[in-house]
Amino acid sequence: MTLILLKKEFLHVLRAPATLLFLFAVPVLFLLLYGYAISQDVNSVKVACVIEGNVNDAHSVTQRLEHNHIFEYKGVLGSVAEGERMMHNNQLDGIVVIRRHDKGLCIDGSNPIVASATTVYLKAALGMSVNKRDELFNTRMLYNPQLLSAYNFIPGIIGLVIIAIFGLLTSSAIVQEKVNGTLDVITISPMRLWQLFLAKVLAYFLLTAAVTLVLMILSRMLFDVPINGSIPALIMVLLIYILVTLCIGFLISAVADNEVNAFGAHNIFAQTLSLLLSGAMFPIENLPDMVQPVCKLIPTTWCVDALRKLMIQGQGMADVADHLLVLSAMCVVLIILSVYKLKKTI
Amino acid sequence: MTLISLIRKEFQQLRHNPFTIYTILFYVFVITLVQPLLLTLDVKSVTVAVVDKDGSELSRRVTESIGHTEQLRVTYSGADMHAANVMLDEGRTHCIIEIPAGFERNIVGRRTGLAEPQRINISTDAVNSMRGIQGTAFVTGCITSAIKAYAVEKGMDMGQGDEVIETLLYNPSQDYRNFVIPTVFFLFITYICGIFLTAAVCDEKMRGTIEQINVCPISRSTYVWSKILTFTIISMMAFYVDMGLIAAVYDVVPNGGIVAMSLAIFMFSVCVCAIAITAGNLAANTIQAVMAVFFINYIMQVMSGFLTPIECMPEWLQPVTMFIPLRYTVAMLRNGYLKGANAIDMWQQLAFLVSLTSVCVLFAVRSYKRVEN
Repeated sequence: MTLILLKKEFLHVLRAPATLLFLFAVPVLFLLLYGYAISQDVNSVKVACVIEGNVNDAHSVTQRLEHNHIFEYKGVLGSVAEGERMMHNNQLDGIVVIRRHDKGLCIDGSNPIVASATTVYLKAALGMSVNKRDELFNTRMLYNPQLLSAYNFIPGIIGLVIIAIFGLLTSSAIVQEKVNGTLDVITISPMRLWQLFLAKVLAYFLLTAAVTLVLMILSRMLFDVPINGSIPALIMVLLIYILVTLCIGFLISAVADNEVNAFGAHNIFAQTLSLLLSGAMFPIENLPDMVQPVCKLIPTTWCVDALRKLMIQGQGMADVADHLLVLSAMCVVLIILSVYKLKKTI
Repeated sequence: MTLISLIRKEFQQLRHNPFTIYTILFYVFVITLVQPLLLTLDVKSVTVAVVDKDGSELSRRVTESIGHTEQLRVTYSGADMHAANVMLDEGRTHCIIEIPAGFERNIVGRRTGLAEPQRINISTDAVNSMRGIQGTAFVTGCITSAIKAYAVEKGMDMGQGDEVIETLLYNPSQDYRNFVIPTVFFLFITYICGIFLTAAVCDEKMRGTIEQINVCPISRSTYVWSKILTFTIISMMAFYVDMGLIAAVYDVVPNGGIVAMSLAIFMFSVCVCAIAITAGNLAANTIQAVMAVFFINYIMQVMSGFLTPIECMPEWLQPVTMFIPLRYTVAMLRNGYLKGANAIDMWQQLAFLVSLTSVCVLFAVRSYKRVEN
């Protein structure tokens, strides 16, 4: 019986080819966009020089700036004021003021990421003392020696995409049947409630797992994000997480009475909160202390943390036992809630 | 006149669905206000484990100086390297500093040229590369100044570097918050004007109320504009309310350019509404429409430079951002808030935004068809 329902669910999806296209294309495009576009690696800095007074070695400084491929060198300006005007129009990131005895840097601070990179690059290029202290230290960057942004963001994106796209899909699954009236047809059939629920979960589960697999392969191929840790643990984390996101969708779907509300609810609870609070994009330790416990309630937090541990840090099953436990608990609670709610609705 | 009664109809429809109102209020009062706390990619807190194998006065001083900084927090201090490694693996510390045995003696000896330089080992968790780089910079800076202070006390010369005088314009505190606040308004617009509107358009189709509109003597553009203006009015109101709230809570007040910023918000919400209506009209069912809008929203967020600078993107991707209306909105809001630039300064951005918006509205009007084909 469940199998027949499962077939029905697949038909729902397969008979709307545009929906199916969205289901595969949107997550993949997401991954590509985030992987390429979200980058904190500053690789082009617009600079200009201002020479104040009579300086002998100004030429050597300007040449160093001109020949450094990181800089987009704009030439020697007449005055600092002129440079500030250009900065006002975003034509400059930094001005080097060459004086007789010292050098001044004037940097556009409106974007802190660019500003700090500009400062470091300029200091290094001008041969100033950024590296004087090097002889004191041996520094080592663990887990991500090339310092790629993708290592941090890709596990986050995978967690976010699953909840954003497939939570959205299931949050409309039951509402749609309510609005279309097809739920009534099912209620009068000799179908048990759990069979309906199981069929729906299973159908979307298989679909989500397929998309997730594609995402993992792409992140490996395009962004060289490794899987250093235990693969069985990784699969378990992902499967349980998928189940949790689907159940969140079903719960919303069982509660909401039309699609506008279902999407609205998914939007706030699943998507916005996961984006802001899960640590997928924004480090959790930066949040105020009173907000941090809230983060622990969001499944994406656990999933993303486990993915980073397993993929990048190369840890094993034992290190993510907590994560698995918490996600499973969330899953059980959500299943009970949504079946209970669905029972009431029918 | 027709337009006004249609707008009244839209507001009435909104009123009849209290959930929408709650969501709007939730966005205006909670999400927008909380966002500045959350949207930080900068590094504020790095946890450090100090493995002190030297146990000298200098190494104690170094540990203390790390504990006294704002960004660094000492989570372990002892001589057991293994314990520190376990903490790093479990994520309880971001950075291990290993001070080798005999370090103090070495520093003293180095001055006289008798000893080979001995180094402090710093290992940093670099999964988050920004935290890796900045954390290491904090730690090395902190230790260097501690050692310098010690050296000066003992009358040693550690050698002076060139002094560089640095000036930061516009955002002297280098607070990422000042960078983010100008942009917190648009998340509201992309969700309320985007997702809700497109779902509402599909809802009218599914309920069949669109048929009534179809038989009324209303032009296509009047109908489309009534929907656009309704949601634009809401987002303008939300913008002014939130600007006031943010000034009250975070003490960040725009340096000027209110007119320019209002124009940017107005144009952007018209644009998002138009995209939402187009998607709603073209889609076969609600889920397709919502997914399409949702996806466009994400593209806009990622490519607009609101989180990470456009300069950081690969070169082939940068020209694509020319077609992202949010790029100009973000630029105008930032320039207005931080630099106080006015509409005339930013006429180029405004021109781009207006032309992209007109194209979107044109599509929205064209996509509304009375006859199903």
